[in-house]
This record gives sequence, C-alpha cells and structure tokens, in this order.
Amino acid sequence: MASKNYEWYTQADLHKYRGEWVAIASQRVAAHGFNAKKVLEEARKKYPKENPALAKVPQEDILVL
Amino acid sequence: MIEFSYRKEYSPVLGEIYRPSAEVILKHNDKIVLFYPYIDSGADITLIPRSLGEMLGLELTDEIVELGGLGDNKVPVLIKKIEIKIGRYLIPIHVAWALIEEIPLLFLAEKTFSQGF
Repeated sequence: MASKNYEWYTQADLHKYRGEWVAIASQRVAAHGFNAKKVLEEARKKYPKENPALAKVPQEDILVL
Repeated sequence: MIEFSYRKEYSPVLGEIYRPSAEVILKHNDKIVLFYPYIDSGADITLIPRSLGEMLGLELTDEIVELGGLGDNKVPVLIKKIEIKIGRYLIPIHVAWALIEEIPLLFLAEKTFSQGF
C-alpha cells in the first residue's frame, strides 16, 4: 500500500524544480537542490520524525524510457 | 505481482502524460534511502548518482566502467550490489553507481528486479 507522501507525489506539480532533486515529507517538497545527499539531509533535519523520500524531476519535456 | 503507479505530468509538446513510477527503498547494510524513481522498461541497469551511493555507504572499490545511453555521453560507474524493497518484496540487485552527480534522471530498471519473480 502506497504511503501518503507517495500518493501526493504522483499528483504534485513539480515543474518549477526541473532538473533538481526533491525530498518529499509531510506531503510537500521538504527540500530541493542539485545534490541528492544535501537535499535529503536537509529534509531529514526539517522533518526528523519522518523518512523523507528522494526523487529527481526531469529536465526534459519528453523522455524515452 | 508488482503494480506501478503513474505520475501525472505535463509536457508542452505532448500535453498531459503519465509516467510509471514506484515507491522503493534502497538498502545497503544498515543504510536505507526511500526514493521515487521512474520505471524504465528499456534500461539494463539502474543508475544512481554519486551522493546517493555515498548515503548508502558504497565504497570506491572495483573496476570503473563506462555506461552509454541516449546520445554520446558516457558515465563512469562502479557496479555494486544492494537490495531494494518494492511492495512487500526485498530483492538483491546490481546498480550502476555513477562517479558523478549529474545524471539525467533517477529511474529503476525494471529488468533487474523483475527477473527475481
């Protein structure tokens, strides 16, 4: 069963973070930037009782997967 | 059976699009990272950036190889073995740990874990 943070993430508009890492906690972007480790550490400090998740927002409009 | 969710996004070229993604835990020894990658059915291996590998406690040992993909850019990587937890399944996989931070996307190669079923 998906977590609330993940469900929020599947619907969230993250276009302003294109090309960046985002950390998700409390159903929001808890931190963002270009270094995954720094982003996650920042989110963990802001939300110490949660386990923030990391995601990368694509830079490109079209992806070939 | 594992089912994937789709992330709703918007492309100025294609309009509303849906990309497959998952909620996954990466695990190496006692280190864990929760992440939300896209699912890539065409990729041979999952690529993770340098800092993510550092968070998992991966070590700079083994032979460096170069990975290619779309375009001419090659990425220097180390092939490492970790575990992923997806749904209720804990599966050992190999990942390509990039020695750079700037990788284009965070995706999970479907092939590497679907063979475990």
